Amino acid sequence: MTVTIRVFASLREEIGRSTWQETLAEGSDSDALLAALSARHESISRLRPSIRLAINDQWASAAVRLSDGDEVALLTPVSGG
Amino acid sequence: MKFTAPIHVGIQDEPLSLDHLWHFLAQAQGGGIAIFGGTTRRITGDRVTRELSYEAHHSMALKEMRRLADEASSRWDTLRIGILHRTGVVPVSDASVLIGVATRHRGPAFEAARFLIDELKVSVPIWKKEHFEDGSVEWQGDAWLR
Repeated sequence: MTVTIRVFASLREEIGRSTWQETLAEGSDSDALLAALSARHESISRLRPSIRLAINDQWASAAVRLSDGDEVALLTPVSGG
Repeated sequence: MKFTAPIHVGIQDEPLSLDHLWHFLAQAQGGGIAIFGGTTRRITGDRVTRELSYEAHHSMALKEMRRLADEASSRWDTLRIGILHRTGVVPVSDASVLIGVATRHRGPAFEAARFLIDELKVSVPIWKKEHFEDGSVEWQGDAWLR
């Protein structure tokens, strides 16, 4: 299945792009996705302790099962306002 | 039937309009309007800021802002709620965020406005980048506030 990854702010600057597609095994969960991304991106690995996920515009807890077409945002600590 | 306060949330690059927000809130014809404005501070400790810039996960930020407004509406006796956040460059003294609440009586206006800015800072996916006078630049947000 394919999910869309979105990153913002410092993570977007470090990776050099704001969005891309990831192909995952059917039935993968968000923990597996994060592990795969950490293995490929040093910045994601380094910032992993402070990264929280949002799936389809909603905050996600750990190990959420993903579906084809999901949008997964990797969010660093927010600082609005 | 429970009354749901009209809510307006928005994100824009253009400067935020206090007049526009006040006019929206005044239509409630209540007894109180409280507006909080978050502005770009010039001095923090020994560092001088030239400007702030903001980036948003737009679609999610709007949903979170609406969710917070809905929660405030159910917890306090509010008539109207408006939350506006700016993206892009926000110069010193400009507002990056305006939060407004119209109520029948003044107490809930202050309380709901306080709740909304405190919660926005914790859960709305927007990030600020600080540009200092000495040329250095830093994304803010080392740790989650909650």
